Amino acid sequence: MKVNVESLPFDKMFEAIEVRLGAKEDSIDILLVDAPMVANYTAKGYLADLYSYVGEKSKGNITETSLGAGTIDGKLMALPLNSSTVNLYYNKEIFKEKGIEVPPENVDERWTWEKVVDVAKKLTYEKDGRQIYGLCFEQIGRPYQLLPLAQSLGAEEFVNKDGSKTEGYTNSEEMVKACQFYYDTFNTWNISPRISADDAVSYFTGGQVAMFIGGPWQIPSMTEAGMDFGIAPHPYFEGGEVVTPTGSWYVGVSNYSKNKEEAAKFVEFITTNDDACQMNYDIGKNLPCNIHVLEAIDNDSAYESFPDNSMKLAVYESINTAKARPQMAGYAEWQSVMEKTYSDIMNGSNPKEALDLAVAEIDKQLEKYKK
Amino acid sequence: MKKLLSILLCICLTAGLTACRKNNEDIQEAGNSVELNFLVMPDIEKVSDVFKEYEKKIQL
Repeated sequence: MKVNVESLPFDKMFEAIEVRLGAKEDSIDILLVDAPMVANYTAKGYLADLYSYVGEKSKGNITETSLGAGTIDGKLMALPLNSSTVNLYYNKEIFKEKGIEVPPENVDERWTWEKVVDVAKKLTYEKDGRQIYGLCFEQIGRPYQLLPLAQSLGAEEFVNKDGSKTEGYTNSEEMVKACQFYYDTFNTWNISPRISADDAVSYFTGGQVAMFIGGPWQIPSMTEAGMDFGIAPHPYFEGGEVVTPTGSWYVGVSNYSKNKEEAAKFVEFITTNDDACQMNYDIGKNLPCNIHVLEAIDNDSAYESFPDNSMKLAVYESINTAKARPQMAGYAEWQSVMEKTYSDIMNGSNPKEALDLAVAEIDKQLEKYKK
Repeated sequence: MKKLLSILLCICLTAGLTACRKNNEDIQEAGNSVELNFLVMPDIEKVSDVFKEYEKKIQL
């Protein structure tokens, strides 16, 4: 048995999957799958069902949310290699300068979005000719970090059950409210900078943002910049549910592989075996999906001190508050339209009108997936 | 007669063991000969030591 690793840059990897599996080539046995693309690749027939190859004990090693995101219509189409979460980061110097108490670390005392906005207004000011902003999302305009706003307000689904219609779901009352909040941060309260997602982290590390909604993968950038920062739990809406983003990389077996069983056993090992998952975490430091590795981190006192305590927070959120992005065959189309819609809202479009236009466009594009 | 039966039994056992060993070798050879192609991106390539652990486990 030999595993040949073919490594391609992010965009090229997606292209290779489309070109080679679209042509039913057997040159790929195993592939990486971005969480919300599991349904898309399943609809295109790219993935083999792993259910019969993977043991029940192995399935039980994985968090329910992560396993669920790889399951389509009861079929196990991919297994999770790692997961992700998002926290509230803050610039201690800005808080100190304005004499404002920093957000608490304790998950039971996490700030509401209402509190975040209240504080962000106080932390939006001009200093030495530079505009300081109170709040900034790392992934400006991207559903991964913005959907929890609507989910905290009660949104459950963003598409109907068979994945063919978003009218009434993606433009639900909760989505409109969430997008109104997003609109207000830029256009009413003026607490967030109108910048691209690519520039967000440098605004925070450069001292132009007081509070930053971002992933732990940005901690090295913050540390390298020498900034004095703190970590707090992700906010939620008052009276609403605490919801945090999740989802990362899955591993699937190509439907065109000539070695499906061997490939499935390999995927089972690297994604569910306790030792393999521990080794994966030790090397990559990505949030694991393996319950036993998550528990080991949670019980390890080495993770009590800053900034490694962010991993403990990540574990808590992963187990207790994480919600996956929608599963639908047309996720790629849905995401593309939603990114444009979030951008329009940031730039001043009426949230309800923008969402109504979005669902009309998405539903037209979803026609091709109707069975 | 007893001696003949013993010789026959011995021949049968040897043949059986040889066939069994050959079968095991064939299975192992087939298992060893499987090559899996895994398409990844650089962030995941860095955990490829985990993949090697599986290769080792399968060889045992």
